[in-house]
Amino acid sequence: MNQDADQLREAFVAHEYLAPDAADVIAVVHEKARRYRRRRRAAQSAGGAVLGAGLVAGTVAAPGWLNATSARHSGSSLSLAAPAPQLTPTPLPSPSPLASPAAVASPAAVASPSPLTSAQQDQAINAYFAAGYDYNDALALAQLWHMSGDPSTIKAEAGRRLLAGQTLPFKPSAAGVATAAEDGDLNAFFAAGYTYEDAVGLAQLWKISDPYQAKIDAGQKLIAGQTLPIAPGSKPSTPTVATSASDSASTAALNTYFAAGYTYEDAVGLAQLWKISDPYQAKIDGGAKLLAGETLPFAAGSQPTPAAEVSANAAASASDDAVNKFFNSGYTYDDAVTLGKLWNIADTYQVKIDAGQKLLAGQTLPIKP
Amino acid sequence: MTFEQFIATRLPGLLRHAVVLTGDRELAQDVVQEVLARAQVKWRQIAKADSPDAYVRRMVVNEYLSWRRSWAVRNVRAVGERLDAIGDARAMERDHAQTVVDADALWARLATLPRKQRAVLVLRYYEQLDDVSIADLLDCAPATVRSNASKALKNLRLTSEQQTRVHEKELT
Repeated sequence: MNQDADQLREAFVAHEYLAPDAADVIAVVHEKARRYRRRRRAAQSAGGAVLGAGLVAGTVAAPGWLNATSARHSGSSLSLAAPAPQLTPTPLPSPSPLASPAAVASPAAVASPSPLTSAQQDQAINAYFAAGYDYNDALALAQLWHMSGDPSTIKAEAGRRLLAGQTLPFKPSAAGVATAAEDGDLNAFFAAGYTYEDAVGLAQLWKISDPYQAKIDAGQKLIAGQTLPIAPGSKPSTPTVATSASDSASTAALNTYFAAGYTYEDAVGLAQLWKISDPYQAKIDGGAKLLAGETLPFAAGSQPTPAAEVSANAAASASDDAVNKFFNSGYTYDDAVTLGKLWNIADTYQVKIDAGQKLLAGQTLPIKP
Repeated sequence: MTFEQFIATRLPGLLRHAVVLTGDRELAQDVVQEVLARAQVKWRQIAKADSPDAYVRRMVVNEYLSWRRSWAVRNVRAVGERLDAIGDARAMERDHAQTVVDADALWARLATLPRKQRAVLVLRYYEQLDDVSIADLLDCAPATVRSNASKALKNLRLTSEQQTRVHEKELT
């Protein structure tokens, strides 16, 4: 085994301990995912109008360097003047790095992006993200445009086109496109004196499940000079269920939920009882019920940690025991690498855990220490 | 596998992978959070992949390589710290030959590498991927992988003897 490779591996493995705390990450992930979902819903409803507005703004603000590059590309077969139908990006391009080598030699690029300076590239990428496109969209664009290489290049090219007033072949799939418009709609809704409870009422009237969406729709109507079927503030407060409450209502519900002593594990239990997939939503619903003076189906803190929700700390403790067993049995890092290849597991640390668990269970490993 | 199951079983490994890849605890956390948030939204698609774990790791690598937000600020600060650390590590190397110190010194030097070079080293020596797999993951040619690895090792200022061995290995 090459000495340099060993040194590098040792340096990497020796600093695995710097990994962030899993619990901290989980909390943020759920919150971010929730925000992305909400924005996606708003983007889907706002649709092309919002995108168009964003692009007009982008054109107005387009920097001078775009003129040259736009002109260069104006005759390109990739001048995407007419938006194609919505394409759901399903990249999944042979995701396993251990799978057989991807023989997906990209076809020659139909048009190569103009070389941009670093500042121009940053500006273009910012425009790309500001329009709500994300990494997965870049992968889909790369496929459509037969481009290969650094995803940043694809993002920059897409951003350049957006700034030049062109449209991309599909709408953003995840985040952000409607942020500005969404904010405008929400501002119009609340500025007219409407409340969250009104949004719940409107959602019921319009037979849509999401009060947040009702706020967006209502805001758009108000901006268009239309009137809403209910007067501002006409709905009583204290929602009974906060299925997709506004951020403030959600926060209040969450605070109530935790203040009552309920835990994440309780939320998992509630989610199972109420047949909803998201424990975070269960916390909000549970908090809303508590706010409404209702009781929850079980006492606070009464739910054990489910197997699938074993905390990172508990898992880490079990993992440590297994890894200790692995090394105490005389096995080395190189043995773990060998076992990883045998078991087709990319994560060597995981191999040590699996091997240690087998040893703890009295089993033998396929190789000797 | 549900997203919750994925988190419960794979998150610790993913975080280790991210911190080794980025060399920065906060950046690792940011990158993994961003990737998992997107993954959760599209989990039904990702769950259909042959290996959701590999797919998400691929997302992490690409997110790291294209990470823009706060990178410049953090990198400027971090490089300053890292240069100090390199000096410290070199001073310590003269006094100690312990593996831990060597690993720390090398870790500090790794922090000065361009992201793609670092990613190649991590994928090759930590994840034990071959160059073809790395090329597939990074969407580049295997020759580019070898070139990046060679430059990275050169940048790490390994001894000439060690460099020769690495180059010989790459030529084969």
